[in-house]
Amino acid sequence: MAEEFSVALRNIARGDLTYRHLRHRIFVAAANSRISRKVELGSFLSARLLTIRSKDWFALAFDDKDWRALSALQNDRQGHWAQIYAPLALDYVLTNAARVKALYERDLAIGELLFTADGEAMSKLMASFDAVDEQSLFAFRVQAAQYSLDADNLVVLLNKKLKTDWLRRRYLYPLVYQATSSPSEAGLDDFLSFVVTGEECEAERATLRFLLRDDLIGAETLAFKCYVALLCHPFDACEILLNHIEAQYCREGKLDDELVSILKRLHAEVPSPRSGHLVKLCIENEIRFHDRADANHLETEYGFDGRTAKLLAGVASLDAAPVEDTSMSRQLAAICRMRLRKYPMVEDFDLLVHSGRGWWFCEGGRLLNALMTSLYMVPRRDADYEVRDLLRLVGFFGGVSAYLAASPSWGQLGRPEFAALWGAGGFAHAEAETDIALLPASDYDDRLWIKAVQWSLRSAERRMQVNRWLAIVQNDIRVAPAYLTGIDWSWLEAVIRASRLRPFMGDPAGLYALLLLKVEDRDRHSGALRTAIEPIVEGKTLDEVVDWLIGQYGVEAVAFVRFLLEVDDILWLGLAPNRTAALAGRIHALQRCIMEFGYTDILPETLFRQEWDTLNSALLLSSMNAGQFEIPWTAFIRDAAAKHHDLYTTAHSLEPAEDGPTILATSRTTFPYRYRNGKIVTYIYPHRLTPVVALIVATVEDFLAHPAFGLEMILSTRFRHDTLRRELSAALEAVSEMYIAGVFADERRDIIGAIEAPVLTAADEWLDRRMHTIRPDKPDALFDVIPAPEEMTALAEALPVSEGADRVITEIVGWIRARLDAQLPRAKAVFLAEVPSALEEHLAREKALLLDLKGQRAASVEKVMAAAHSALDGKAHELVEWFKDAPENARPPLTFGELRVAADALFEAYKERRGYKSILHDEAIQDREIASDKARLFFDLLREIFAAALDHTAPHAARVRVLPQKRGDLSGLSFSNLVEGGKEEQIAVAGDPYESLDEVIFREGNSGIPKIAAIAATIAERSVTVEATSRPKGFHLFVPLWCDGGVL
Amino acid sequence: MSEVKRVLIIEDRDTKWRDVHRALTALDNDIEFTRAATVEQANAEIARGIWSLVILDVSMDIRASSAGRGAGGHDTIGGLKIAERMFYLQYDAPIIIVTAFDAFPSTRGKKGAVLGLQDVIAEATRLLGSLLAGWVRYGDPDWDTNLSNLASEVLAA
Repeated sequence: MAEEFSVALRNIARGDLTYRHLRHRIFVAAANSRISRKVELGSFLSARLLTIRSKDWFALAFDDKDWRALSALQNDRQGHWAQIYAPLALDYVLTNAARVKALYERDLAIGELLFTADGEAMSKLMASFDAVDEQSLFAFRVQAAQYSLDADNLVVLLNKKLKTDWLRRRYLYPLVYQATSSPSEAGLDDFLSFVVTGEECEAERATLRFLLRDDLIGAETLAFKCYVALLCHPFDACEILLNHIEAQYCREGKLDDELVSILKRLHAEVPSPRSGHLVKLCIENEIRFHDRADANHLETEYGFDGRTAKLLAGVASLDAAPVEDTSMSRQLAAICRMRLRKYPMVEDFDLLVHSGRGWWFCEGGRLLNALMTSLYMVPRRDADYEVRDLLRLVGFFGGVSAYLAASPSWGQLGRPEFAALWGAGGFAHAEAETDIALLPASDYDDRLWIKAVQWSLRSAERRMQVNRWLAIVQNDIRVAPAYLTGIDWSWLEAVIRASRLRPFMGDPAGLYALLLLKVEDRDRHSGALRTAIEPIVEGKTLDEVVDWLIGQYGVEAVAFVRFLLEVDDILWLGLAPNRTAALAGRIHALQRCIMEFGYTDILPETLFRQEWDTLNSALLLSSMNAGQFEIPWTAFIRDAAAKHHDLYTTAHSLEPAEDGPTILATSRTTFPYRYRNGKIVTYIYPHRLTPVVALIVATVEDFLAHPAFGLEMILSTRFRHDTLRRELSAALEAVSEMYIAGVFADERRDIIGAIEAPVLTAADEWLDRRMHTIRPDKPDALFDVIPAPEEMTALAEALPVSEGADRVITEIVGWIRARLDAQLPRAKAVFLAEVPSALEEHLAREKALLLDLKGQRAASVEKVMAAAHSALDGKAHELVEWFKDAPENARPPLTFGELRVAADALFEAYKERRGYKSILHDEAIQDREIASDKARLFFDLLREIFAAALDHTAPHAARVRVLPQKRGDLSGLSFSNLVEGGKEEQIAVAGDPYESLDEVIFREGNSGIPKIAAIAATIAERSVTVEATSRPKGFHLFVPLWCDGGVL
Repeated sequence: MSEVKRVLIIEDRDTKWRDVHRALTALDNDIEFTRAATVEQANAEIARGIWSLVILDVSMDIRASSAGRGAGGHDTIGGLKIAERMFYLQYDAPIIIVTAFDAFPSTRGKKGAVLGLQDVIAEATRLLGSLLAGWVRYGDPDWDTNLSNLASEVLAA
């Protein structure tokens, strides 16, 4: 059968047409044949079919038939198609060897220029590309990397270079976006979801992804890669083959015979340092241990100049650290500094990550990325990738060294699959040499500290010494949220899978490791730390837990407070009786950390202020009957602008000039997008608006899914997840407890018990139908903030992209807000029209049923049902307030009564135990309004006074009486509580207003009555004096709060 | 004489608790039911380690508060976290998830996320493996029969 296909192939190739024209016929012929061995074309026909003819050759001229072919090849797991396309791809490379060699020369030249940053030489080099070579992926990528900070020019340049319609329509924007925003490989899919139009079939999307990163391991089959390679420049085809060979070796420690053969032929006919290294490694099994990286190898094999090679070898050595000097290029200086410092400078890190992600496809980029991996500068990845980086460094520096052995996933090379590489004892010898060469982590004051730690951890991992591993982590790795720990968390996950949390429960070192895990990856085992600390927390108050953390971990206790003691965690751990107390408790715990250690990298001032604002807002919102749709828009705009800065930059940089490329201005694209709530909208807009549309979509998605005040969260937590049910349930409960003349208490309770479920079911049904965002399965939902196609185009066109990210996001959010505001009155009307009547209908039905059953006295049923109807109807009309669109800055002031309730909630635990209660002696003050900016101060004031009263009052009568009082020209509140055996005493304590948040935390003597006086002064906006009077049976505190006609 | 089977129903809503209880009561006379209405109560009950079956709600009140229902905090994926904790502490008991919702906003991760019911089931399966005996969408047609059948299989095993 193979022979049959060979004949067909030869017949097809005999005409004057090239592979590009004949590829579909070849595919059909192959599809109709059964191939059991590889197919060879012969040199003559290869030359005829595969030689590039510069006059009519276009790279990457895909059409719809290609997607069908590639779709079939994606499933070629058995290698059937590879027997056809791999030899063809190899022949294609070899037939055009001259073009391949030409680009390898440029690849090496770029490698050196990347580290010497000679811009002029780089420009000359780019100008020297042959017309055919200019259509290579390599050339596109060089352009993209070189102009990554100048997207305007990049778009213009690429438009000239990209010859096919498909490339311009599909590839241009992803490539530009990739270059300008440098997504990580892991983030590639995320970013593609914004830039692919959605019109593509799966095979086309896979092709796009492959063209952006053809070195991802295990992404596609060899046949798929070779098919694409045959439509690329032959140099790209060669690199695609080498990438595949390299990936297979890193994953499996060996190559198929077919790949061995391909590698040999590539190296023989289009030799490159890379193919040479792979031959030595994969075929000749040659690997040597050196004391240090061999600069000479880098110089002679890869063409680096002597000085650069020496410096880079110094980076990759234990005992020959590079010396930074002022004549170095920025890149070279940055990588040297990175090796010389324990933690990198942010600018160096950003520069090198950007360079590495931009130049990943050439030798220089591969060297830079592999060095970054070896220094634990990038997040840990699958072992295959880390092994690849490690083996690449072996190639660059001519062998293994202790430095390389202490790199990520070194242990993988000790697997039996790699035994042939090492020969007898080779790997053990390398390990022993590394044991000797590496000092303890504490002996290093440069980046080698992390390699020493990781080497120790690997030793513990290999022996499954969990306790030793945990001790090393606690001893040698500090909490630094901005930096990576380099830890292989997959090992810890395996420990948890095998032993669950036993090694960690209540163990300080175990808790510390779980803290690092939570700081580095909040999604993974997010509840592990909270569970493991339970034995420590048991029986303690929140304050005592913070004490324990500070005593155990010193300044790193701050990280526990910041990352572990969040509001829900405080409640989960039983450290607060309710949400209000948990919110206040978190603020207090953070303040304690600041008082103890000052602001730190873990808890900087800006972060604390954000927490302070957010928690205060939540605290006050949770204490009032506010509109459920009240949203802190300013905070949302700030978050969105920061989060989408990269998208904005791209949108801004791609905004065409007046005389911009015509195709960008006129061509339209179709973008069927599926929002996270399941709604699909097909947008059609001018191509140039792609990044702007992506920005709008991302912002709308944010508003839908924001964890604190996104629309889905509001509809879910403030409505569907029980708020309405609870209100109705409370209304019915009140009826069951209220006196109804002529009805026995048991009757009331029985009747209400019988009707509660149907009533709540009615509420559920309404919520499930209405309180959602509109999507296919919720057509009757009341909310929709997703732009319709014409709205999207109009909004995208109108955005003032040149005026900065904040302005643009403000406009988008303004659109969302207006949309939501417009929907609230309708939602309110629908709620009023449907909920009371639905409840009434269910009540009537239940009433009829109860009367039929004759289990209750008819008169009692009538009376209780009437009361229930009235209560539910009243509640429903009260609840329409939830739909009010309270403008952010026009929130009605809180009342004193609401603040007292919030403060009381802090002491809920003492209600039963100590009879705690605050009592207002003048109900009028209950409704006095407190200005928004003073609400938090009043809350703090009441908290301080109530807490002090609890500390000093009689054990079982912890009541605080509150009474308005006037003394002289000052009015205020008097607080009284009982004491036992008090002495006669009167003191006056003066207080001055706080001037700043820092003063609230740090002012000397800031506790007890002086603190109360300071808070009162801040409320009154002038210095005041608090008067305390102690008597044998009582304690009285007068707190002046306002001048007559003043603030309260 | 058959051994008494103990079933823990973790459910904060009274109506749903009654419905679930009703659906299971018909199964067998030798079943003892216990209710945990908050995460706090659930954690305490689970620690007793005596359960033949746990019926688990997903969206849960964290703890009871005298300030009213919900004042003790509400966790929209509290049930999932209970399952996670059971995994960590190796409290091995068969579990059936019964939820009235199909979307669960959560604050997981840096960005937060809206988890679909399938996400929640997938995560529970990852953690619990074969201990997750099944799940039921409360309110779907025949939900009570499905629950009863699932529970019957577990208790018979």
